[in-house]
Amino acid sequence: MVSMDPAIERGVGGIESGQALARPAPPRLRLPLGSLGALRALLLPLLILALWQLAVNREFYSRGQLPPPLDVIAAGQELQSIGLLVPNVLASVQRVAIGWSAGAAAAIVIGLAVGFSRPVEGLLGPTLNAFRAVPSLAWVPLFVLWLGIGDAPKLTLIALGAFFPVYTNLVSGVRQIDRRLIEVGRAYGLRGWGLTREILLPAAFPSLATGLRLGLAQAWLFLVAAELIGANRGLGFLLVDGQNSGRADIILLSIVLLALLGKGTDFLLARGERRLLRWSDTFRGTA
Amino acid sequence: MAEAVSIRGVGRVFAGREGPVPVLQGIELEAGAGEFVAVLGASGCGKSTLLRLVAGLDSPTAGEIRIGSRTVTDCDPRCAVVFQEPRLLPWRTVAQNVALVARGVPDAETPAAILNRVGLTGNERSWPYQLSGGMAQRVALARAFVRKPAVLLLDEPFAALDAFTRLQMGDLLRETCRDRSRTVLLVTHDVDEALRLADRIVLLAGRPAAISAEYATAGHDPIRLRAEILGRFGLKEVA
Repeated sequence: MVSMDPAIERGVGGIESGQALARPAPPRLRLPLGSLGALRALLLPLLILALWQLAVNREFYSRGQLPPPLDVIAAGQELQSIGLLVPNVLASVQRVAIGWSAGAAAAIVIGLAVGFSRPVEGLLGPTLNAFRAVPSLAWVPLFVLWLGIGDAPKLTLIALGAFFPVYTNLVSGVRQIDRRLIEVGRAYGLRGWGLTREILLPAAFPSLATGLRLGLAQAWLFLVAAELIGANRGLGFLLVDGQNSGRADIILLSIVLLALLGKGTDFLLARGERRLLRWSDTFRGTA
Repeated sequence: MAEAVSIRGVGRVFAGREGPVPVLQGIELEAGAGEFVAVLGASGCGKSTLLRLVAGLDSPTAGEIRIGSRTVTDCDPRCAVVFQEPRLLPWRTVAQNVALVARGVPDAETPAAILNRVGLTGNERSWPYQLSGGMAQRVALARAFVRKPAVLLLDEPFAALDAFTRLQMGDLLRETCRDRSRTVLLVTHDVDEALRLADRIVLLAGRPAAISAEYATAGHDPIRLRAEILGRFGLKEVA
């Protein structure tokens, strides 16, 4: 049996470190990023905040055009006090959740069928690729015409935005599955849904996860586009409202909230992805 | 319950760029129920193609293959295949890989019991990437055994292993097949492995490949048999 004795690996490591001692590497200037842990993710936002405050202090724009960060927080408190902050945030979150789920679910079903079957690919692939080439915002007038100005056209637009990244990544993921694993499934009696559940989906999951995260980012993008067109609640509505009333603090607040929500939801997906991909032995970047 | 494997007049022609490429032609082979037959041939001669045909992973362009009384048209649930590489599902732990195949098998051994039999107790929760090549191939064997197959199809399952592991795995296989509860078809290019394990050795040679000779191992001097088989391939024993 092949030895998995960690002592052997330690031995190899020992030789390497011995060589490193004999020939020390020249000193390099290194940022102490490793020791910061999760805090290093805050470095850039803090720098942006500092530059923002500096720009305010230097009066590049009037205070009405570029309010300081604290004014933005105050705008949030003001909206909260009149009961407008949470309902608008929740409206947007709900739209993204429903639109993204619907778009991703459709993309998973169609992507699996197209990825697995060449006849289905021949039937649907070219048309879907043509639809993908249409900038999704071009559909907006049609959606409004067909579905009115309620939530339906907004959700459809968000679902459409989420659909293509999930679909494209999943089809490519299915086509990259090791053919020999599908053969194992077949040899051990897996067919149809069993083969899909046990082999295709888990094997294509790394690509699917990437698609789901890209789809979510698209969903937030399309949410704002949908809410800018005509909405009476949501973060897009706050943006338009801020623009109409000349309140740059509300516009900036909406932008910051969108960034936080986008990052927060992506973080949740990334955690789920990491957990579901515990089995994968891939390169994760250097320390 | 072991089942006989009957290969009658089987041929396989592949479509090549410059026309049809016949790989197998007129293969006639009968493996009795519970018999251990080794198909021996050089690399690339069509041994694996033959095994894939028996496994139902491919279809012959001529002839017929039967397992028991049934003609093979698709993968047969009475068969289990062990490939040259372990082909474990990387997203399932060792025990989960075995358990997936055990589903629906009446009175199947538990994954823990069968993993104990192949010497992998304590590795049930390991991911496939954490195993050495030999360990992974043991899991592949356990996965085949847990199915209680009537026919065990082995496609050079030890070819990628080091010599010690190969011997250990051979012993394990021989031990498990001693009760003759399954028919075994082993495809290999290793003469010694075939001599050590099989009741009967079938030589596959030529282009397209056909069966060129058959030898029963019982009651024969393995050293003479080895020399004769090597001679068939135009090779001489090194003194």
